[in-house]
Amino acid sequence: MIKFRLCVLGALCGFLILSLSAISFAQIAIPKLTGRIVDLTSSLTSAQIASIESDLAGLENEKGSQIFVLILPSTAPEDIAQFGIRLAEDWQAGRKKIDDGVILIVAKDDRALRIEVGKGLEGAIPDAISKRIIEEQILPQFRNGNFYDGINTGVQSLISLIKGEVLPLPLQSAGMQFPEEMGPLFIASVAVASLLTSFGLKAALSGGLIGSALSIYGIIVSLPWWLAIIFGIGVFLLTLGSGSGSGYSRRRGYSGGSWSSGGGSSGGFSGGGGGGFSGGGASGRW
Amino acid sequence: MKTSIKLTLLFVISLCLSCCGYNALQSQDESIKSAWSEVLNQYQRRADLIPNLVNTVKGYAEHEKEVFESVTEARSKVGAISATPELINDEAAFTKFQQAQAEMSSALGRLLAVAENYPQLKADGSFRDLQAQLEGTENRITVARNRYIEAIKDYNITVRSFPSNLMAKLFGFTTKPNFTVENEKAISSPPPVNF
Repeated sequence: MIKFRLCVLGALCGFLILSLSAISFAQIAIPKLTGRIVDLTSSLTSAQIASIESDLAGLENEKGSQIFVLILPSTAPEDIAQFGIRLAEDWQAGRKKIDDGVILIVAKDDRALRIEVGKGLEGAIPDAISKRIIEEQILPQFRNGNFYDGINTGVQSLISLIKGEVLPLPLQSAGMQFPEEMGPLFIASVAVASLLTSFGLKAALSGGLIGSALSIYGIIVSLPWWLAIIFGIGVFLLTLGSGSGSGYSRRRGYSGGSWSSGGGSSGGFSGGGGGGFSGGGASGRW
Repeated sequence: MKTSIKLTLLFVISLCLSCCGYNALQSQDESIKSAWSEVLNQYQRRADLIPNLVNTVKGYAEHEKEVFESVTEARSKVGAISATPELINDEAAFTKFQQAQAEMSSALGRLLAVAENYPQLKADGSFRDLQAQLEGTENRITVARNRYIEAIKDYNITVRSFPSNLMAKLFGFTTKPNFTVENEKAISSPPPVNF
């Protein structure tokens, strides 16, 4: 009898989970940023993609700004502008705080396209100019079925507009990002270590364990290794100070595994952290 | 052992202050203020586009006086409401502000619908630029409003959840009003265009 009830319960739970996940399929998933051009419709050959990508990479090296291109079948059920802002927030084109990113979105089956412009480039690429690029340069090519020519012309216009704009120089190495939660975490670590000590664990052991856990966390959130170690040592020493202080062993906290410096990307392609898109740009249909 | 227990208690209390919502309430309150300033910024941007738009359309459609008057009137109504950050704390004023902006939107819609009748106007370069700017601004308004709604949601959730609602009561944080859609039916039906 119990087994039967469990089976019914399991089936109900499964049904609930399925229906809930069905609800979440209303919007399409954001495609992964695998490169500067993401072509989900195979409209461009790999040679074409490589040629545009080299231009875009050249722009980023020269000015620091990032232009991304996405070609997908459709943005339904969303409007391309609605989809565009979700995409921009996920891909984070452009540099952090400078927000100099542009994303060209082509929804091939919808016959719609959009240029999404980041806040930092709204002076160089105002909405009216985006609209002109779309109407006068890209759409005539699209109407003839020349997707590569349309996209290439649009991208070249965007590049020359950005090149004419005064932007902060590209950094050679990204700066450090200090996560805000380190402060409370530090206090929490000392508290937990002291608690462990008061329950009988040796002060050095609990301090060392919690300290090294904090160091590893610090490295995971991209803190420089020396700073993460300092936090770990701090926890260790404070635990010793608040514990009975009976002997100690060498500290166990040290960095493990690989780390990345600040906001740089280690492996894989990622946007520059410029999530500052306010919905500027223009759309068009053909 | 006793000193370590005392110290532990001290740390745990300080932790409580930082994790039972006080800091979260502060930062979410600030997020709301900045999101609201952005909304006001974009509404202002739209209002600033109006005079140019009206003049361009007048150049081709001088006799459509009624439409121009309604747009100008809506603009002055919007300008009359002092759009300050404090607006979000006053529900009545907030509703009035929303209503004025909605009237502005419908007046603009009528102006653009009228412009459809004049092919020379539609072909005019500066009109197309203004239309593009207007579309861009309307999109920015939508994005800013969505972000504001998100900020309000996060804040209201913190104010209402346990245990941060205790912290909220202690320091006088109350839930804030959100954008409502008044006359939802009227908005969902497109404005009638009489020729």
